[in-house]
Amino acid sequence: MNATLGSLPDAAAAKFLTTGVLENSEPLPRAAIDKISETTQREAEPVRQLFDEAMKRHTPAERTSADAWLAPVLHATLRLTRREASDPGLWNYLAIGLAPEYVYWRHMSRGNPPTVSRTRFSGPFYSQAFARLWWAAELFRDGPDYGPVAVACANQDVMNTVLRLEMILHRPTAQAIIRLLATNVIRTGRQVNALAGAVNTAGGTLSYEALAPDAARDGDAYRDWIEELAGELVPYDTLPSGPADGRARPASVDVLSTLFKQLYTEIPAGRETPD
Amino acid sequence: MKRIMPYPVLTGEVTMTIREARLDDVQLPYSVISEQDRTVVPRPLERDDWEVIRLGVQVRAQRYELDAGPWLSLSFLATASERRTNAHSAVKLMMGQPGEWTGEVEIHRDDHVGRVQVSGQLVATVDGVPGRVIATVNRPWTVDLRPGTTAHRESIDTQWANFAEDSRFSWCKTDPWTVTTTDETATLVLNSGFDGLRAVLESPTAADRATREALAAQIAVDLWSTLFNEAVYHVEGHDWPEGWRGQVLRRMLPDIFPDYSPDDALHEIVNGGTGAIQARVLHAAAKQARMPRSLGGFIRSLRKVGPEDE
Repeated sequence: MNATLGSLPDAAAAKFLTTGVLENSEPLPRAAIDKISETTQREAEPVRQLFDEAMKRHTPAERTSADAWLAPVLHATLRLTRREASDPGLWNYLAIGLAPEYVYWRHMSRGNPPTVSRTRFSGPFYSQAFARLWWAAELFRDGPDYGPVAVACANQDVMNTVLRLEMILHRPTAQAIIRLLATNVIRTGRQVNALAGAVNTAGGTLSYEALAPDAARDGDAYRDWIEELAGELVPYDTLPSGPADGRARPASVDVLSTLFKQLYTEIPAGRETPD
Repeated sequence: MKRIMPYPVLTGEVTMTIREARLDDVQLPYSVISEQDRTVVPRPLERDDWEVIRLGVQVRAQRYELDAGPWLSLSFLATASERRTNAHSAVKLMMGQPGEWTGEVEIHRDDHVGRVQVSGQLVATVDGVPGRVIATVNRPWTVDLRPGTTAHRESIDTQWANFAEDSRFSWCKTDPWTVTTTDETATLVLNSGFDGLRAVLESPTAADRATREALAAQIAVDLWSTLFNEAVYHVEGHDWPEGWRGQVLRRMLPDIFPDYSPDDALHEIVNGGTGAIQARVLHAAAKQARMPRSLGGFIRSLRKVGPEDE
């Protein structure tokens, strides 16, 4: 295997994803994958270790809880700009070339025969096995604080529904939703989906950006953080530190969490007592 | 058809203009901005070390409507967003004269990679509720950062091919021309094996002018109606398709549904299909084909096409 990570374009990735591969009954041709991938400067080993560590720390039965551990450390280990993260080639390579074992471990369905959905290997950012974790970390972190990421990733409905909603690209909106989750105003998957629906609908007529202005992110600080990677060991037992590119404005998060709480109590799901 | 809102919204248009573009504080020539296509293609982006593009933006709404309406605390938020990089930023513009806002939208290289949509919302307090969206920009802009694109790009290419010898065209080998499309471009392919076609289209003599124009117009009508139907096929939901498909629809829908706003017209073809309106499509295509500027440009583009195996 290569010592650096590669980039595997979508079209090439698709060719490797045969039915046999998706059912894990046919091995992926590692050598051919490395040969066709473009090389990058990123070291493969530290990333490879994360996936092994995640499988060591969680039993197969608690595989979904691996998301909350892996998302922050993956984000802090890769240190990508959003521009770089938008390239599916890297994600394809991680899933197909570097760590298919992890994809099987985390995403194998219980069907007959058991199979992994193709989009877990190569697919949109909210489905692909590693892209979804990186983007969850990027979109839910509050500046350097990955705490909200752990909350978001611990709830599969946030990962499956909320992550793909455009409204969370506004940081105070994302933080306000996570706050309602962290303070147990909402708990179950049904409640998460009901809240997301209500907030999204109200967002059609209300400008959250106007009600809750956000400060611009500090791109230079983000760059500095990327460059600091060389001298840092990303911790496994405590949350790592993310880029100090500015937190969502606290007053704005306050305004929106109050508003969302109110929106939530106005819909049927919100009037149920939490179970 | 504007969406029906439970409060009064603006009925007039809100237009956005991009007046200037600066790349790392160096002013770019105005030619990078295409008002017609609402596109900015900041050159030269071959350089990989730029950091930020700043766009000088101006927004106008109809003042008399704003004065007469029940809206308080108006503010305008300009946005830059790109779904591929999940980037979305909003900036408040300054109000100059009533109904006019100006400001600067920033596009950071680290956050973007392809087509960035620049748009915005007019927000006001209505019936005591703050933060209501009362209008959005009618035609958003696109800042295209993809390498190899230029503003004013002729998104319809033309090439010659001998249909009899080219397997791609074996199904239409006796036709004088055909149209092929991809997401990026539409290509008009002219059959060099068709007797006399090239001679007429490339004739330099004034005597052939009438024939040349009639023929070019005929080709153009075919081209526009094919492109229209192809573009409609790619409309998903109520969103305008990207690239040439969006441009074709924006040009032709006003002639197909003259009484509708562009968005309404789009909804109409999404809901009603195009089966029953083919005569109107032909009318709109003919109108496009007859436009002196587009026809002149079209003929010029036919003549400047190089040799076949380019």
